[in-house]
Amino acid sequence: MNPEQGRDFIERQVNKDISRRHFIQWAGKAGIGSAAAMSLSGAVLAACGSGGGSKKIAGATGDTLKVGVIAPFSGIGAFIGTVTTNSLSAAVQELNARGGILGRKIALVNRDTGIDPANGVKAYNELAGDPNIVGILWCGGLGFEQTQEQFARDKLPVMAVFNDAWSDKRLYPDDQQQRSVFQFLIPTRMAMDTLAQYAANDRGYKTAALINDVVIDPRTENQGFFNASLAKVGMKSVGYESYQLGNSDFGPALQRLKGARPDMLAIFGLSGDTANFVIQIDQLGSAYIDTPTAKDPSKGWHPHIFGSPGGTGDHSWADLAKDSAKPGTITAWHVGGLVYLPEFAIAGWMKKYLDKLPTGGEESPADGLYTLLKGVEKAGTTDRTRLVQAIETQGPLRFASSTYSFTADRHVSKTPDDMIIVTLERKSGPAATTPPYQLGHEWSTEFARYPAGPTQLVRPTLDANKRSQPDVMKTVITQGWGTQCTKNPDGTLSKECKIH
Amino acid sequence: MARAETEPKDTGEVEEIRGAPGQGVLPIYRRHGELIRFVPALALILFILWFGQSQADSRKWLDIGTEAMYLAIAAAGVNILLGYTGLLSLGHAAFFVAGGYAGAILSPALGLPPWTGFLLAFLGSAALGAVLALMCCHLRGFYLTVVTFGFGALVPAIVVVAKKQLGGPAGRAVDHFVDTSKVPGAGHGPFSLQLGLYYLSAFFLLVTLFLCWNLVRSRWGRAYMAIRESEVAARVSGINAYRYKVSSFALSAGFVGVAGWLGAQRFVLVSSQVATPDQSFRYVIMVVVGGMGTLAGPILGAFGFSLGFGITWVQNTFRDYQGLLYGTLGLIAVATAPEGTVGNLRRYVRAYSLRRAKRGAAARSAPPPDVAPELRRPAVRERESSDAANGEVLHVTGLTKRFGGVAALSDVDLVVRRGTVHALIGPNGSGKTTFINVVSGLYKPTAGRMELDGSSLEGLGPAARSRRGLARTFQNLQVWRRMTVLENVMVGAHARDRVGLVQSLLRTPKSRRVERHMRDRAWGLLHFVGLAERGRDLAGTLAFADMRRLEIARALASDPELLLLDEPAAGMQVSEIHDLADLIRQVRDAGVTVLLIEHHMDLVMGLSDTVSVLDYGQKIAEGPPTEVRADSRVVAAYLGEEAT
Amino acid sequence: MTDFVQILVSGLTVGSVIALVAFGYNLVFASTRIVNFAQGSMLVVAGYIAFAVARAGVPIWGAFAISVLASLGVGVLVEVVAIKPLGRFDPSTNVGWILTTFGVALIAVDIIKKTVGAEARRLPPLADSIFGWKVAKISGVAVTVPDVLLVVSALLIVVGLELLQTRTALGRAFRAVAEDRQTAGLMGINTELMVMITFALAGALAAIGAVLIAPRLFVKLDLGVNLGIQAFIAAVLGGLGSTRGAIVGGYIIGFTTAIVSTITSEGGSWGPVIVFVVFLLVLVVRPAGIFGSPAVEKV
Repeated sequence: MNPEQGRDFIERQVNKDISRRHFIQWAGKAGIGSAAAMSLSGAVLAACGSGGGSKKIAGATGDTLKVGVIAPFSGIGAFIGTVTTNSLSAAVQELNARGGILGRKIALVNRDTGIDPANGVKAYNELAGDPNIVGILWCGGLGFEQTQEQFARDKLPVMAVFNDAWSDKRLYPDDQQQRSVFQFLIPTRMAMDTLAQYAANDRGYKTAALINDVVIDPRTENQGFFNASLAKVGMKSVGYESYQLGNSDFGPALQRLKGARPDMLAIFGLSGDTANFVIQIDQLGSAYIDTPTAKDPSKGWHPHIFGSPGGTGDHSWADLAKDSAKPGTITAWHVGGLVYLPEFAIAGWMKKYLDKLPTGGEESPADGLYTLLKGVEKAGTTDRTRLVQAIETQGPLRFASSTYSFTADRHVSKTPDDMIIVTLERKSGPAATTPPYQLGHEWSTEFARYPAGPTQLVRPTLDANKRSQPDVMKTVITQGWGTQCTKNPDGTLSKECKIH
Repeated sequence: MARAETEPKDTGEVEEIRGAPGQGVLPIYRRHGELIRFVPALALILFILWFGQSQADSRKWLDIGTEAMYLAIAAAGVNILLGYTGLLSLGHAAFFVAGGYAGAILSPALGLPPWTGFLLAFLGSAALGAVLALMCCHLRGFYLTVVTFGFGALVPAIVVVAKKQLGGPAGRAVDHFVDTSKVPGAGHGPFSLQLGLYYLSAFFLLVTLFLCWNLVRSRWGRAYMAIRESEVAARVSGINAYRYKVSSFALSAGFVGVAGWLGAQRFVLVSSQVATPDQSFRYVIMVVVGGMGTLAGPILGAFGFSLGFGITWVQNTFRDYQGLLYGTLGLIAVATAPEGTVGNLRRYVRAYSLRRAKRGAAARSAPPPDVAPELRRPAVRERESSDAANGEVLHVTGLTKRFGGVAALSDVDLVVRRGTVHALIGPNGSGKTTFINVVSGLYKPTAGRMELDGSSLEGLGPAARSRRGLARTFQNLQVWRRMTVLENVMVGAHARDRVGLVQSLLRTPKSRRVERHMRDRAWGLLHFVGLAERGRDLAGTLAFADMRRLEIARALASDPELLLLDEPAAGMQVSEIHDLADLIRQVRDAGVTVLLIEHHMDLVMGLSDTVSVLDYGQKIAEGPPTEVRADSRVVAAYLGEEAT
Repeated sequence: MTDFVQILVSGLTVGSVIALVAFGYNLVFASTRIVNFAQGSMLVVAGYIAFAVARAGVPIWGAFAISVLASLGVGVLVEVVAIKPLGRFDPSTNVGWILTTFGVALIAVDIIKKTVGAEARRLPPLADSIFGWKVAKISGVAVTVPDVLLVVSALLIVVGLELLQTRTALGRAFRAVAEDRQTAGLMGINTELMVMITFALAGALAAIGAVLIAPRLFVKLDLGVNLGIQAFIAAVLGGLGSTRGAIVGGYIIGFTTAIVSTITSEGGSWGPVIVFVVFLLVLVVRPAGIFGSPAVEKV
């Protein structure tokens, strides 16, 4: 596959699914099955289907380690299932090629949650009842929240790959009962903290408002997280608006927001609605111009829009909003593969075993599997309590992505350092601003192999970015990507790079 | 005016009854009696046991099996409404959710033991169903469906708003029926939760089936079917259609609620996520594909969906093509088996036995049972005070009925004397049928008084009038075509032998006794009108003249004071009219007063004691037949008509 | 004042979006007495056709025209697959049509998913500006060309359909078929053809709707379901079979939502509850909807 083909391939993969990425963020929340989501796979009747793997290993538990996988393999979130399948099948082949764990091969037992959280609960009960299952990878399948009590009861290791228990304070040590749960997803609460820090410290915003889709935030907890994060950095929340998936009109909400005039607007929803919102705010004459304007009440209202990965984490919202998606409009963050980093090993395995490339997020299920199996190796047993202890104490790990570790009082693999703030940039070239953007297209040329989205750009404005991804950031900084640097007459970049 | 007077088109005319005489109770049942009906039930029990034992270690299949069981309960519930009562609800998924909340959340909250959940689930859902039904059961056809649709959509929307109480879209976790941590060895083998839940669901399915079985063989079930087949005829047969529809709705919702409770147990979660229009559609589809209005149909439909698609699910192959698969299967099912799987099977069985019959192997069919002679005659109910009305059965004064500005009846007085045949004649459009519709309570009069046996009929609906002793037939037949001839007559006796819904569902000794009496009485009347041989056939397969006689038998089954015959001879051949005249005479001789509305002059003149003539909504003549025949105004009225 | 204008603009645009889907329900219901649950899917199919044609470089008006033409065929196809096999049937007792129209909807969604993909797509608006005018501000509320186009087209469609139904031979034939198929057949009306034409027109309406709605809601797979339910409710509110009823029903939903959203920032949760309550209240009082002819109490 030559680079051009490779790129085509990626483009196709990226374009394939309606909302592949955004689902990762909120799949764990039960409310995904809105009427719309439900209906898309209207005829789903069978509840917990079994994945392809289960048949092969039936009864052959002597020489295999069975790991349960709970993910949405069907329905609106099926792309998560695809990501999970690709990731895990590459990882399993890699691990088995390395000789397995404790001399035993690895086998997966897949369970589909479809579009109903109840299926997740059921799948868990079934898997947890099987003594041959060493642990569970919960990969965005619904019903995670509803299974908390069973987690506490069974003490079976559960890797929350695309589910967010930390934000709900349901992860150990916040919740003493949940010692067996380990999280790989960047928690929303943590992400919001970072986002707020970025807004306050890097951009200097004072006020903010939140627009929230109640369908994908069924327990409406985003508002609380958001306000708490703002309070930590001294920002003030001046507005909250709720809407439901598939909304076509934000008029009344925008009028209220305009009255409140926040410097920054965070929208937590899906790409279609985000695009719609951006279009309507543009029509209102309140499109983003630049940071100074966003902060200056005398220049009208031109808020900087921040988004969740769900709505803004990939290019699809920008494709929909087209001209209304102004350069620099939206800032989102990297979550579990949203921005795919070249150093992640999973890409090589997928190429090798599946002749596929990652579409984003593939490192997390593989890391989850590895963590669990390394725990088994260290513990030398599948005894649940000892396994959990082993996972807590096995030190730093590096498998499919960058290095991470768990400890007894830290059950989430990600740190704020893992976040990369990305801002919309145009594929077509540098945006016309003063001083001029240098960059924008570089990401798409240099990282063409990685579908971070041709419209995204890493802005090395956050120290955390530099800490967590030094290699990437080194390139970014030497090249001056995303910063507002002016070129020197000799073609080199000015050292005075400012945030736009 | 003529338009307003016409009867509604019988739906049966559009949707023709397929097949030929011989349909109705399946030949196999005729030959071997009722007991053989238990064979399918036995097969179901064996299947449940076999499945449970063979899959005892497969959580996956037990899970799918559990789902099959409770979906079958839901489908059976929907079938009561859709298949038997003929009402289409697209909001029943809401009751699944309501049952879950009532049984699994409310019940423990009230401090009740967990196993009582099913009761609260049933009652809670039934109550909600009754509320909805009270709102919509006066509506007809699709308008009712639309309200149920809106209701079905409202329930999840409310759950979204009621975050604190109901958990919002995320739903609420529920406790297991059994606390597995306290059962040693639970989770595996024979004590596994899955197996327990499977058998629990199967048990409730069998209970549901038992209740439905009893229901459709009871006075209530027949009333539902009568409403489905012709609501007008049901009402004049003493069935308060609104009340019965509400009860059917509540019952149906109750069963779906129990399914919801089992679903909550299976998922350890109650959530409103399942209450989408899709889910309600799915129930309907299961019932339609399985076979509406049959007991086995919904069960087959639900099993087919759960187990059949469980297989494709496991195979993983069709995961990406589910919509295509389900959609195509749905289309094929409707195109090839319009009566559903069970309906079609029955058709094949009938066709087979008909072919056998033609080849000479005459279908041996049990002869109609013999019944006591006193049951073979029309009976007159006992009156409290026989002479309260001076021998006047019906006394109508100043009856006026206007449709818009047109007076179909103006100021009509009429007295029908006990034990007579009183004919009401007149040219087309003279208001005869309007008169009978007003008297039987289908139309509200604009003015005027009506008394039956000296007591006013004012404010009474058709059902209440039937209970007072008024019975009627229809000019354009309103037999309940997809019920057997016998059942038609049994519904006629609806108001005579009362037995409650719970009694009917449980088939208590009282209900059996009543049932036996109604059955004997119906056979007796079939002997009386000469249709006993056809008692086990579907009414829709009768010849035209036989349908008329069936309507008379049905009307007589209520032991009426007054029988209103609306053009009984219309469309009959001469010999048939002679038979009809004999029949009417016998009815009169048995003591039933007859008000005959007829065109056929020979019949009227030969039979009547008194004749009244209507023209343009006014009574223009009255008297003995010979007198009326000579009346110049009558002649003019008829000639005027004939001249056109 | 701003609130008032905002409610007006929001109510009209949202109402028109809903009405554009509801017209299809009405047209089919008016001549067959069934509700075509595949209407929403026909809209999605038409939208993706327009998108595919536009992506191939055809200007949007051309794509629009092609989509309308193709959707005539889609409508006929739906009729042939979902309705024809049912033969002569009474929609109120034989509910097979629910299964078939719903089944066709499922199939259509799967086919799109497998061929075009499931991603939301953008269609350019039919017109960006009218004589250079792009967006107006009325009391601080933005009014754009696509929105004006949307609202005006919806009203024009009402007028057009009403004229078609009342003033043309075709419209009279539709009504005759709806009233009594047998009699209509006896009168020499080819009832099967009439039903087919109805579905073809419903397909064309879906295409018009898809292209007009796209600037607001894009072309999305879940459009058929989300919008389909709202449109169904609008059609019933206004009176099934009545075209002006559809738009009034749409406006009721649009204005209710706009007013709820203006009163509370929790409009996302409360909007649907209020809409459904209004729906039930109207139906209990007027079962046939606002403009529907009430079911005659025939005996």
